[in-house]
Amino acid sequence: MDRRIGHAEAMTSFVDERDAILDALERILRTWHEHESFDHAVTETVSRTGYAAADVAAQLRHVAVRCRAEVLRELLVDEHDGVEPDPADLPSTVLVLASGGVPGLVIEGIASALAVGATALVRPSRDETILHHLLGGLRAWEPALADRIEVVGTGGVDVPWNRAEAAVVFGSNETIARVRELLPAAASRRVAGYGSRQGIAVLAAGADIDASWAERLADDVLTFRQRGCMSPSWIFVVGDDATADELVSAIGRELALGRTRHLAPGVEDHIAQRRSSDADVLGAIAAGMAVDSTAFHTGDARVTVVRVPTIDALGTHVAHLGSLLQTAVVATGIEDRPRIAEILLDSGCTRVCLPGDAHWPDPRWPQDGIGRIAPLLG
Amino acid sequence: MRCVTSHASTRALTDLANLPLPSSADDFERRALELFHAQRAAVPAYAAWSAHELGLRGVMATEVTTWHEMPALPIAAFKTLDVRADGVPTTALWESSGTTSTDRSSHALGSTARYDEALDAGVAAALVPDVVARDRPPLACVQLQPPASGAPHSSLSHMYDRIRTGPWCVDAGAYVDAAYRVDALGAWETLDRCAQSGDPVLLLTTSFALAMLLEAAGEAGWPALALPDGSRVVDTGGYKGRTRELTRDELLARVERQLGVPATWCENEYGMSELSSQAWLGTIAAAAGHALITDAPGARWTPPFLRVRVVDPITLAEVADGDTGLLVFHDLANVWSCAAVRSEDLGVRRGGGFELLGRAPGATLKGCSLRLEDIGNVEPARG
Repeated sequence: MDRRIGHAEAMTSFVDERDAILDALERILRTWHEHESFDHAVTETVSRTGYAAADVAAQLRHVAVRCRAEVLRELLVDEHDGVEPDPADLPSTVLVLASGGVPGLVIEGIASALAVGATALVRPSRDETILHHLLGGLRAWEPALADRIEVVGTGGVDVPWNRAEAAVVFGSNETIARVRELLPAAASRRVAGYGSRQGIAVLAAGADIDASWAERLADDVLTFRQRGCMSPSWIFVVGDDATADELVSAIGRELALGRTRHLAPGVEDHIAQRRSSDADVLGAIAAGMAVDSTAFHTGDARVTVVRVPTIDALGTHVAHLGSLLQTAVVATGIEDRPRIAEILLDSGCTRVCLPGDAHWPDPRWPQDGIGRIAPLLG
Repeated sequence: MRCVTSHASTRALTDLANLPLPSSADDFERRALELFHAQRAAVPAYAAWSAHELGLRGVMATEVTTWHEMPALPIAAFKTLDVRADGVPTTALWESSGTTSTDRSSHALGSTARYDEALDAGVAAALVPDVVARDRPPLACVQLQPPASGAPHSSLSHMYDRIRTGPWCVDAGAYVDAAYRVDALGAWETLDRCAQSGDPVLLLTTSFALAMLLEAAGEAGWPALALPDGSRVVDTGGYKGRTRELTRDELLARVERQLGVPATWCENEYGMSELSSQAWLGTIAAAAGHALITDAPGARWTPPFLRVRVVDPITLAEVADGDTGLLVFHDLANVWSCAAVRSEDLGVRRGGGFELLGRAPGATLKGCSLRLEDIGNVEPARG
């Protein structure tokens, strides 16, 4: 009895402490935009990436939504079969690795670590532009939270792989594999690894039920200069030639018009266009074939268009992308959406959304179908 | 696109490889044309690319009459394709740095003779003209780059080894190991000995290793050195410190403060593993009293067998004087692959030459890709 009471007290204490940390994270993220350091973070990101400031700011606000305490607590329980996990089974340290290519992504990793009550050991990537601005004021604003976030592996010091009991990695498949090798054996079994992904879009007749579908889809493609995994790289156009031509023309027009909306002023994208064009031809030479596909090059962005005769044939075409599938943007008539969504989910997509929503997944979406918390639980 | 090569084509290339490198403008034009046709016939990757580019222009290969018109292979081809002459055994293979095999370019050479000839010509003119002219004895050479024995596929290691062990230098050692760890203490002690004995030094280094050495010396509190007059530093690459990027001016200021070598005796080598020749600022040559002649103020010096165009990224037409564009190299020492290479570096056209600006911006990765090098570390210096 004493042991059960002791365990219950320990559980309560753990949960209270963890929730206090999550609440602190929510507070800081919700109010950060009021601080000067938020503007500095946006400015540095814009300067180094060429992203539009509005996109960066919107992304950081979205990260705040995804890292709300209530959301994280719900995920922890939902991804653990509906019950709070035993603290004794949770990692006490979680290594967090994320590219700076998508602003604020590392904060999501930190949030997952904090959600399991762990200390986040964060190794910032060399292209990280947000975190140091947030952490700069954290000790003054939320000291208890600051104590739970430790920056590691900088200043010429190795990443302390042996200290990690779990890891969150947003990276290439190769990087995730290498991280598993470097971690201790037990930690390597608790890796939330979100690997290489490509976004797609599906267009079919009736897309213009939303008059702005093409503009919104163009925004999906061009936000963050198509560096996010959720930006569509492939557009599957379903229907006869007349339908397809109309849809392709519409998106082509909006991609051309939308380019400057998502670029910082003064960013030169001619180089990117040349790179894209070279890559196409070199790829064709390497494959021993002539270049023969419709593709849009808009600044940095490259989108390959694939014609699909019918909805029933969609699955076969989409399946070629295999494990790269994640987000699918669907611009079709209402009546076709359920069938198309079913096909996409069966093909391996883990998320289906409407134009304009590619970069704003629901906070409760189990990232890549893996879960935001579950992999850390072992 | 299949391209048929033949033994005759390869023989033509080999014959060209055995001729002395051109030394005049007329020689350059003539040799460039011969090399263009020979490489089109012998190097399938270049044949395919030049067919594509000439096709876009509506021009036949036989209508190309000047080096300005020759299609230039994008440097990315060295990652994507096998850019080498058919049937020529590989004597040396240069690989650029990169985390994965898809990041790395490969440049196969049938012989290093042409490479070495080009290098010697550039070094004699730009780095040690006073030693060549016997104004001063050979220099004590300290190298901050792995020796070629530890980095057999590094063109820079081959280059620096050749200089360090050649007739213009006294070998004072290499202080970076095969894992790219800088032996800061060993290097500093050697430099200090040279300072004490009055032996001028030639320090061959990457910008990164140089920054690491100076940071280590600063952190360890080693007294600044006063290297003897005539000492010189050659660096290449970017200027990253442990925690942030340095500008070149910051790096040169540290060199002067900690090594006693003024900026006028600091040279920057510009080359790449996909080429065989190098371009130089001309600072050391000028300081040594053997100034190099360039096309225009601000332009880099190139040997007579290397020409550089600056082109618009979209149209690939040459930009006007003073405008910025991508650098296209026509390197006649690049016999075994492709003489005409379009880089991803930006420069300003200065007359018939160029001023280097740096790598063109823009990521080549898609997705939330975190690369290993983004979380990698350099080993801390010993000492």
